[in-house]
Amino acid sequence: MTQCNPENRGAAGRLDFASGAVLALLSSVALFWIIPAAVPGGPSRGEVSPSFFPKMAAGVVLICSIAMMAINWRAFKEPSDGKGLELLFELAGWTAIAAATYALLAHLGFVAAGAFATAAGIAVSRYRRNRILLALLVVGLPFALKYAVWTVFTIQLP
Amino acid sequence: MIEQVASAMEAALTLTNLIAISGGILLGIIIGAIPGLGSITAMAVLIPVTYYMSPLAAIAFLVGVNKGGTSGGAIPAILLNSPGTPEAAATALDGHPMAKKGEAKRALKFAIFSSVTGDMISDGLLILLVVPFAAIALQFGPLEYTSVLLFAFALLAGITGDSPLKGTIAIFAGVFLSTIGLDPVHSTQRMTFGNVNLYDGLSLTSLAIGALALASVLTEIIGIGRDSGQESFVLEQPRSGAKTALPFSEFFSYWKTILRSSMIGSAVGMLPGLGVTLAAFLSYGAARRSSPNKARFGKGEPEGIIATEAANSAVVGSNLVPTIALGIPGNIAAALLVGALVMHGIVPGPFMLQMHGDLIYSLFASMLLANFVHLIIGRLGVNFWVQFAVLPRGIILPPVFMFCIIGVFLPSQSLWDVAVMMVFAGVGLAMIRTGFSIVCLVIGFLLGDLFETSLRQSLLLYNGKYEQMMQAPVALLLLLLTIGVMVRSLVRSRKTRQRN
Repeated sequence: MTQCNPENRGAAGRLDFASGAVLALLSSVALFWIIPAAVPGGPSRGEVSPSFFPKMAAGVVLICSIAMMAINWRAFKEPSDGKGLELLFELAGWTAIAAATYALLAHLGFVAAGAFATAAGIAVSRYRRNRILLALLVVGLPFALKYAVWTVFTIQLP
Repeated sequence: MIEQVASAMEAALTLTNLIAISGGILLGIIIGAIPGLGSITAMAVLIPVTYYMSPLAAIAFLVGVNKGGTSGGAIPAILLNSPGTPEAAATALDGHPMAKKGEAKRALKFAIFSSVTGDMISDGLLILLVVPFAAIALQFGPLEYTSVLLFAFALLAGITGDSPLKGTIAIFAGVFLSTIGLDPVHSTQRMTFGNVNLYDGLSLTSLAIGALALASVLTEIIGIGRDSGQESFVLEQPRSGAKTALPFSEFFSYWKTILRSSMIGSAVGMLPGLGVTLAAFLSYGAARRSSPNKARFGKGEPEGIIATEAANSAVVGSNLVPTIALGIPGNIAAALLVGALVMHGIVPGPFMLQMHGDLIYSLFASMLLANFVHLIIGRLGVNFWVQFAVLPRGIILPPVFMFCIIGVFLPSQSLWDVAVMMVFAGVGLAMIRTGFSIVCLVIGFLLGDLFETSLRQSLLLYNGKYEQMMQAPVALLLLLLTIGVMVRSLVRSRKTRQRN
C-alpha cells in the first residue's frame, strides 16, 4: 500500500485502487488494441509469435492491476485525502513545464530552454533567498554549459 | 595469471585512468553529499559523459562515482540528520547523535574508513568469485537463464517498493517497454508506428535519467516548494574539546563488526535485485543484536555507523558478480553500469571474461586502486564536504534539469531522446507518489531483452515436452525458489495489510 500515516491508510488504499484502475485500462489498451495493431504477423511453423512476449508482459500487468483493485476494493469507499488530485496537479504542471522546455529547445535552443527550465524549477521550489545568485544561475549557467559542452565534447547543443 | 595481474595493474595505473577514478570519486562524494541527489542520480546523469572515454576509464569513472556517492550519502546523514539516500538513513541513526555530542568529525571518519574497508573486502570477493561464477554460468542454457531472471524478478518484486503486486507491475511494465523496437528473433517491427526513432527501442539512458534522476529531483523540488522554500536542517558542528581523532587501532578494534557487515553487504550485493538499503538495515540489525552495548545503539554508537557504511559500500563491488558472470545486474547501480558497458560495445555476461578479459582485470585493478584514492580524498576532505551538504537545495536542484537534458542529448544528439526522458520523468513522479518502484521498472526494462530471448529459446527447445525440464535440476531449483519467494512475499504483504 502507498506509504502513509496510519490514519490515512484508507485513503492510501483508495489511491492504490485508482492506480490499479489506470494501469488496468492502459494494459488493456496495449493488449487489445496497440499490440494487435502494431505487432505484425503470426509465427512461422513451430516458432513463437513476435507478439507473444509483449502480450505476456501486458497480460501480467493487467492481471496484477485487477488484483490490486480487488484488494483495495473496500478502500474505494473511504474519503479521499486529496493525494490523487495533488498528483494530477503535479503531473499537469510537469507536462506544461516539459512541453514548454521542449518547444524552446526545438525552436530557440538550449540557452532559452535551460534558462526557462531553471527558472521554472526555482519558482516551484519557492526558494527566494540569494536572488542575485538565482538570476545569475538562470541567465549565466545555460551559456556556461553550452560553451563547456562545445569545448569539451565539440558537440553543439541545440 | 601473474602476467595478467601485472598487465591489469599497468593499464589501471595510467594517468587517464587515475584522473577518471579520482574525478568519479570526487564527483560521487560531492553529489552524494547533497541531500536530494545521491549516487544513482549522479551515475544516471554522468553515464552519457563517459561515451567519449575509453571503456576502462568510463567504467572506472562510474565505479568511482558509485563508491564516492555511496559514502557521500553519509555526510548529510551525520551532519544534518538528512540522509541523502535511503541507505544512509541507517547511518543517521547513530551518526547524527554522535555529531550532536560534538563528535561530527569522528563520525565522518568512522563512515569513510568503514566504507573503504567494506569496499576493499567486497572487491576481494568479487575478484575471487567472478571466475568460478562465470564458469558455472557458461554451462547455463536458455531455461537456466529464464529461471535466474524469474528468481531475480521475484526477489526484486518482493523486497523493493510497497507490495509484491506493485513490484511485479513495475517489472513487467519495464519488460513491456523493452519489447518496443525490432523483434530480437525475426527483426519485425513491434509498436514502432513507423517512427524511425523507435526502431532501436527506447533508450535506456532516457528512461533511466528521466525516471530515476529527473523524477527524484522533481519530487525534491516540489517538496521544498511545499515547505515554502525553507531548509529545515540544523548543521551539527564539531565542538572544541570533543574527540576528533580516530586512530586506526581504535577503528580496527571493531573488526568483528567490520567483517560481519562487509560479508552481509557482499552477500546482498551478489543476489540479483536486492539493494544497498536492505544491506545497510540488515547489517545494522545484526550489529545491534550481537553487540554488548545494545542500549547505546541509536544514541551515537560508532558500531552503528560502521555496520551500515561497511555493508552499503560492500554492495558496490559484489553486485558486479552477477553482472559480470550472468549479465544480470545486482542492483540499480549495476544496471546503470550495464547500460554504460553496452554503450561501449561490451555485452555483460559469462562471455565477457573470455572476450574482454584484459578489460575486466584492469577494471578490478582500478577498483582496488579506487579504494585507496577514496580513502585519501574522503579523509582529506572531511572539513570540506560539509560545505556541499549545506548548499541550499533551492539553488542546487533546479539546474539539474539542464544537466539531464545535456546527459541525454550527448550520446545520441537527438531531441527525441530528450522528449522520452521528459515523459519518463512524469512517469517516475507518478510512480514515486503512488509507491511503485522505479528500480523495478528500470531493471525490468534492462533485462527484458535477455528474458524474452531466453524464454522464447526455452519454449522452442522444449516445444511442449515440458517433462524434459526435469533434466535441468538447476532451473527447477531456481523455479521452486522463485515460487517460494513469491509466496513468502505475498503472505508477508497480506499480514502487513491485516495488521494495518
